[in-house]
Amino acid sequence: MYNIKSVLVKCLMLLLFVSTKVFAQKEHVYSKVFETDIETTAILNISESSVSIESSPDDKVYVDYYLEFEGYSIEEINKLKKEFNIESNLNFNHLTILVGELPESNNVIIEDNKEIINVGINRQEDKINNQLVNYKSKDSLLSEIKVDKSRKKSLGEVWKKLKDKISKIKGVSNYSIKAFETNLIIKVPSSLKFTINGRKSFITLNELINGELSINLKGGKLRAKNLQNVKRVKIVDAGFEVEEIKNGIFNLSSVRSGKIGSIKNASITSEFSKIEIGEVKERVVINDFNSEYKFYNFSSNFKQFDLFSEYSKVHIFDSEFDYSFKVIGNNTVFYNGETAISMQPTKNGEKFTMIEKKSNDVNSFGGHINMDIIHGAIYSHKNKKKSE
Amino acid sequence: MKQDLRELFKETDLSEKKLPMSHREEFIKKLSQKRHNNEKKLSSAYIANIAASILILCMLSYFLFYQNSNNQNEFTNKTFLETQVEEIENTYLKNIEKEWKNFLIVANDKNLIQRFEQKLEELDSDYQEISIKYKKEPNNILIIEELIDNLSTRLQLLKDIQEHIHILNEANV
Repeated sequence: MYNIKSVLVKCLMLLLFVSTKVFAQKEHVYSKVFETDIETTAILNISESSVSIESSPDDKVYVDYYLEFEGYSIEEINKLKKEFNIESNLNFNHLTILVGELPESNNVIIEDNKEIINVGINRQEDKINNQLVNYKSKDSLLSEIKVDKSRKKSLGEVWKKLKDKISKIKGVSNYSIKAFETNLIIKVPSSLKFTINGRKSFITLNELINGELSINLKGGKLRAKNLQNVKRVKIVDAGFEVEEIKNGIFNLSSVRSGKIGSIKNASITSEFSKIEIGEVKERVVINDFNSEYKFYNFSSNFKQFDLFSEYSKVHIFDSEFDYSFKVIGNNTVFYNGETAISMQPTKNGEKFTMIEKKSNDVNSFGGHINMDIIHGAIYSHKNKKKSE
Repeated sequence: MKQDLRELFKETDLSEKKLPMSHREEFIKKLSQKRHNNEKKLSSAYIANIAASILILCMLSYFLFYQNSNNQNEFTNKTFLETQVEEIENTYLKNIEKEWKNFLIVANDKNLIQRFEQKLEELDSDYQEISIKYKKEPNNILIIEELIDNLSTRLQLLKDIQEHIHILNEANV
């Protein structure tokens, strides 16, 4: 009798184990469609989620929300599904979409650990070698930032990568990884006036939005194929990768790996950032404080480029086209290969012309480059493509 | 009413009574019996007192030990990972403090100092926010990375600006 009881208990435990076994699961948890017209405005407030903005096949806005789980039990998935917070409604031709904070963070739990690695401590030793800056063509920079859905890693791949990473940590023998991904897909007509307010979110703009666009993002990353007719984009402590910017006002603060394929008719105000620009086109103005900029190329007809900055580091590569170049500065140094020209600090902070290069060839003239720099360092690099 | 005590005693018949011959032995016997009884009573009270004291001492030491072990548990409840994160955090904070002091020595521009002060305050406020999440999930490596990333950014900012000032100063020599 005792033995039968024991076997029954064991069977029950096995059943429980089977029922709570972890699965990878993708769930479509929310779907709504809204009729819009040319006057419709929309606002998206998103926190700790991913959103992908795509073009709508018609004049409607489609809102679809997917959740993907890896390493969670079915019970846990069902519990979490109830806790996710998404709302959308259309009132007086104004569409509001709200995506609330996640009920919990992605879990990568280390349960048993001895002599775990010093996570990130080695970063203290990181040093930036200012002299080693390699030239990039516009296309090579574009290939780094290209918005391509097929390149996106699945949650399963991310999960496997995390598992490999943690299993390599010395002394860690017992760990569990639970990961989930939220993905909001909003399909919008291209004329929609759209405002996005994001916090620790990954925003991908796959398609061109012709309507007025405003983005305010703190934490996370903005990836866009094309930003044009931008009313205002403000990015703080986040990644910023855009293939093409045409028209707009940009405010970038602590953007660590900013990559812009090409930029035209735009003004950037930035601070504490690191930004690479593949090609500077017509009428670009930058106001900066303590950032590092790399301008790889200028277009054949950029007309005028103005940079006003303090405590900035600027890398500029020889243009393929003829241009005029003027640097006004105070307490600024200009490195051109082995040569260094410096403008000593003046008592009253007056600025003087440090360098002036006039156009040599009117026929291939691209435009004027003007730099007004205080406490700055400019590095002029040879364009390998040009010298070859 | 006043009385003469000498007179009072004279009036009693005590003085006229005669003691028996064995009174001395009887008295000694009674006295020794009485002392024995008293000794018996004293020793049991004494033992009870000692027992009570021991009991109190035991209770007190148990209480103190329990309290202490609770404190010790609080300390030892921290996982190895938490202890390590604490160490890393302290190392970073010490280095940030050191680099901030160095920065103040080399920077002679009030505007620059103010901008950095503001930036570091913003990052610290973000750090407090992440710390709340970390307290809820102390073994979550993604939150730990977020914490360390914040500290690393602060340190890197201070190192970068000092390097920049150094480049300018070197060029101006």
